[in-house]
Amino acid sequence: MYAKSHFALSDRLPCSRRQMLAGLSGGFGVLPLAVAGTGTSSIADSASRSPLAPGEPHHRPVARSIIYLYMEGGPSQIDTFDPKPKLAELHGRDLPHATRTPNTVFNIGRKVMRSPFRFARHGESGIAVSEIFPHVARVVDQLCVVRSLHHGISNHSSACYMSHTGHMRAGKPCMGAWLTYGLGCETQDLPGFVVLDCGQGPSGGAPTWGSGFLPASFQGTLFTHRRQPVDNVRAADPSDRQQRKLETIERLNRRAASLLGTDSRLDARMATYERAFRMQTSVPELTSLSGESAQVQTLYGMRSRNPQTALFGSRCLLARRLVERGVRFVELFSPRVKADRWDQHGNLPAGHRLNAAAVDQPIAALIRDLKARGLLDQTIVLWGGEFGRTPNAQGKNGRDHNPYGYTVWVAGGGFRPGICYGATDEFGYHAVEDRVHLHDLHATILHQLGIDHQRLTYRFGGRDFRLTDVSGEVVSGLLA
Amino acid sequence: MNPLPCPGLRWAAIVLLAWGWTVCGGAADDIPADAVRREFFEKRIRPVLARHCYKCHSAAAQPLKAGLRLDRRSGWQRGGKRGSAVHPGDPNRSLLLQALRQNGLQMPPAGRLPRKVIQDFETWIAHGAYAPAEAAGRTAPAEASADGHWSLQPLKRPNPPHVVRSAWVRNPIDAFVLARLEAAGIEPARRAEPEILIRRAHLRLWGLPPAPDSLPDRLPGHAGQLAFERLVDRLLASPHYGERQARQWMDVVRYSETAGHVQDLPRPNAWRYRDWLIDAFNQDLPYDRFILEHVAGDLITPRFDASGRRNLSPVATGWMWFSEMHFRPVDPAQQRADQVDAQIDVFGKAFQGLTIACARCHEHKFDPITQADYFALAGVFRSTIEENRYLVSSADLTRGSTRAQRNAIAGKQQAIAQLIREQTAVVRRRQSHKTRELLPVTEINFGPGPHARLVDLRTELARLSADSVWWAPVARDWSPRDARLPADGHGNQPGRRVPRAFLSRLAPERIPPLVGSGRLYLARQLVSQRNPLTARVMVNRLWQRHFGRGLVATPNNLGRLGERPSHPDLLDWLASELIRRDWSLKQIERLILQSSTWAQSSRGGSLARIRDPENQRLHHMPLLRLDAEQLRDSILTVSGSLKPQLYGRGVAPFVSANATANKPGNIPQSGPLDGAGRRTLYLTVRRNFVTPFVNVFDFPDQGESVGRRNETTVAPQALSLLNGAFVRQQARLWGNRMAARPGSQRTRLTLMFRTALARRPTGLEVDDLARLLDEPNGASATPADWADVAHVLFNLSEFLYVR
Repeated sequence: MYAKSHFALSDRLPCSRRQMLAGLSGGFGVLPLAVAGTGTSSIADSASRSPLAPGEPHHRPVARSIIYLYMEGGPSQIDTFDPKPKLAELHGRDLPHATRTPNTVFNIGRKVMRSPFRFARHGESGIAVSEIFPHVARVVDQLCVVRSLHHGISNHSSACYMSHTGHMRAGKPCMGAWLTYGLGCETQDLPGFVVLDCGQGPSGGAPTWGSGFLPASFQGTLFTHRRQPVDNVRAADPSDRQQRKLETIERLNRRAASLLGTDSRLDARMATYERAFRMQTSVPELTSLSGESAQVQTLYGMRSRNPQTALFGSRCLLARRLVERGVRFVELFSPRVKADRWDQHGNLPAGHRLNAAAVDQPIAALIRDLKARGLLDQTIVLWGGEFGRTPNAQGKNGRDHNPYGYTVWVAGGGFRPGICYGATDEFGYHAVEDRVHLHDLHATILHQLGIDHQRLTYRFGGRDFRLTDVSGEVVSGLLA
Repeated sequence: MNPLPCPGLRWAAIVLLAWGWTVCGGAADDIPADAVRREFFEKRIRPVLARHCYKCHSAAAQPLKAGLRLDRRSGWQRGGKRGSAVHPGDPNRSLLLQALRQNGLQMPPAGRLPRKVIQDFETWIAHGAYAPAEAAGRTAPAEASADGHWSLQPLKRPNPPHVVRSAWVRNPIDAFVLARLEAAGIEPARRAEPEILIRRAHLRLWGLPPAPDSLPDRLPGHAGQLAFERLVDRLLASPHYGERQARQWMDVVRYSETAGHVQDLPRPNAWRYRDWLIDAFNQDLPYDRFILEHVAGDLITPRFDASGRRNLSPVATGWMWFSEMHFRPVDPAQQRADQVDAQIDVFGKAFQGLTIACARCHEHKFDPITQADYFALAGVFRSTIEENRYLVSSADLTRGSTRAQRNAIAGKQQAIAQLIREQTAVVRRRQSHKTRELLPVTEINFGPGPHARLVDLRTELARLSADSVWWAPVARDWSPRDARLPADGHGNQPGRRVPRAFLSRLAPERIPPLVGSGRLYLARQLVSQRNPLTARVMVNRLWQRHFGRGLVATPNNLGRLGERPSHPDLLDWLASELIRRDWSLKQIERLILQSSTWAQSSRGGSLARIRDPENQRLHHMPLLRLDAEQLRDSILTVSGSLKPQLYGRGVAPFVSANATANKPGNIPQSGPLDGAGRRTLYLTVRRNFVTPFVNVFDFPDQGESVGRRNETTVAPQALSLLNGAFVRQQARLWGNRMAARPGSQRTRLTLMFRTALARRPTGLEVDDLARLLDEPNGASATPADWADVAHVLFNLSEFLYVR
């Protein structure tokens, strides 16, 4: 499987060292966050040194969890949340010479293409939203629209790694891994970092939700949309039979205790069996949506005639259930539609419509539902792709990749609602005003979760790595 | 200021907590306060000095202002025109701090530093203004070695120390270990039982458990010892030895058989490198030759395989091509630079235990590696390209074939050459003139369709020539080109040209311009007698696989941010012994296995555990968890499913129904659940589709060189052992066999227990297992009951851990 699809739980180990340190540091405030790893690996003979136990944040967090709605392919900013009337004016003509057109995948011409969609202002904030997002438009007052994001990487997979790990090469921990490493998770019976697909994964493959050089326990757990969403959690034996086995395992382990000696890993290991046992109940309970009212299911679009909407709706509803239960990081991949993912090198009008139709109602429902349950304040909802698209046309009616100025939006989690932050140039090509680098966005998200992005580090291969590499500033203008 | 990206505060230093700093982490024990203070200095103080002060206040300053030097401790102690700059323990009297606070003096001239930085200086001075002895400072990193980091000192050959309990000493290893134990008043643990040693030796050397009939009768004293030594010789002589060694080296070179990114294109025949490793370790290829072939196997005298026709040496250069590759990068120059960076990174860590790639964007902050060193190496690797090469001569290609076969072979060869020509032209057309000069076209660049056609053609060619046509991705010299120092860190603005060379600290003499890429020169520098690192790094890796932790706990980093050796003399003795024994790795392994140190029980004395809780002094053998491969291979062995076949094309990984990819077509065809019974190292390593069972047991990511794996203890491991299809399948197979086997229940249960755990069970343990066979109404046990016994045994802690 894309395949890292087992549970990644931060099991709390009996942590004698931690207790010792806590004792020693008693007079000096809370034991700080587990900001440091043990280098290339954990020390084999000392599980008590495990960095897996949850840590305290660096400062009082605003948000508790994050839901990342990842729009694979690169939705066009100028056709969704960043209208540019100038494009209509220059439609069919060349971009002015002053506008730089860096290399793209196909090195297309300079001919401008106007947005095929109408924009209208919505809500009290009056933020303009494209007609392909009618439902999201109705919750636009909750959105903090960032119109000046950039990172400059034009390949899907590299930009995908960048968006998730802050590095353009695979093999670094992704944001979800960093967060579960830094903060642990608040649930004992579920993974701290869950990835939900709809039959389509991201271009970066499994490393997108990988833990890189962090211990494997911090990687995302993939819950597919199939009936058995994840391997190994359903008890394979009838309960009495499993019970008998578990008892025998425990008895024999106890008998061998004197041979193996004292080692905290052995106790920790038995604790994992207890947790595994509980997860056999908690996971199926979690993924079954039958307990949700018809009203809620309708709200999320699960009764929609559009099967992609129905599917994505069920994933959004599951995302809400996950954060409700204390899961730290939930990522959703946009569903497969009857067009390419959000990657319209051609036929953008139809392709973007189909992609938007699949996610629009579920996303709006998710925001409303979180709000109604009082969860939106403590949950960051992040929407966006790996980059945006060019204002100049590719072929008749497509657009190429544009990582130089694109839009994402954030709702909840203490982000300032109802604003547009930053701006691209008059064509929507380059971010020019209040530019936000992806590292800045990551730093700001970590900040809201109580983490100083410069201090959440892990030593590997002779240096301390972090999500934001060597830069990134918290963008206070994005925060309420 | 943005803190330095590289080094960080690692330790949950009690010192620091007491100072009220919020740092945290792992080991507090055994880390002297100096280490913490040094790191604080290196992370928070020196970089600020270097960035804001050195320009006017260091050896390199032109002119030196106010007579003040801040690049060495004596500099700030003595001070400049105004007197001492720093009064240790008294921030307020320290001129340096007054200047930073812009209190009378105003430094740095460009403007006041952030408050946090100034606080760091207050803290630093308040706690004694510590600077490491060698932190006299350096403007050029090479200076840092003036006093010298331990690992860069010439290799010594220390004499084994005198010890009181000399009877315990079986070879010099023990003397070095015992001396440190005696110094701390700690007794070594007693010798472990023979059955424990047998299981331990099998799993360490083969990665497989012993067969139950290889468990010996308990031979007393000397006879037992001899029997054990014979066993060790047998284990070292078996081909399973190379399989185990190879996999550990594969972590270091981040072995992978696909190129990653969206397509995850296969790297066909990358597995030839894996087979090369297995064979090299089994042959006990001298480690210096091992390195020569790794770095310059295509440039040296060939080493032929048993057939006398295939030249194996170039295959070792396959490690250079394991990095990820996008077939059509928007910025090809960046991708090439990243590929070279990955090569330098692995080169440095694998052979020298140095983090050379840290010097890509700046001088190395801790080790004597300059940015020029980095680009000297970059020149070498940029002058090297990938090639899929036949390992036989063209005459051998058609040897013994009929005319028709010869024609067919020639046809395939032509078709391959033509396809490569065409596709190269296609790629070239996409490239600008500038990149054309810089960038080689590799077959990955051809993209999915042509790439697959090429693989097919080669496969057919191999079939036509009865598989005598081995081919493998290897290195080849390209037109030599020096790299230029970047003016901007990314190579977009090239600066000064740097001649191709090895690290200046290790090869300081001037050399004439290198011929070709310079790889042969690099290789010779690595194996030169005066290279202080090569042997140390390798014996440390050998030690680690026996004790879980190397004598240096950071095997890929023997630099200043790595750990210091727990037994420096022992490390040097072993390293010099490796060279003395003509670089024979097996002989070093044998020495380790014959030591009393290795044969210690895993149950140390309680006094020892109090005096040295981290077991730094090795007063017992640590309990080691099986790694992913040992665990899966053990299950296959015990259930009787293991296919002992060596070598060959990998088995496709099992892909469960719960797989996802950006397109369904990108999900690869699943291999069999049991991996066709092959050992885990023969499962194809795909970047985007890791075998879940090994992944959950900490199989490493292929993105980075891993010298030592993480070890986690998490619920998914329990779930995959309890509910996972693979484990249940193996339990069923074993259960069926045992159900059909004659003999009493207790005999069979005892046999199962011994097979899984390599010891005799107690009566109570057999009773526990026997209850699983109880059926209501006294009916006889079913195969499913026997499978339950097997399943329980797979789940025991004793199965997963090695005493």
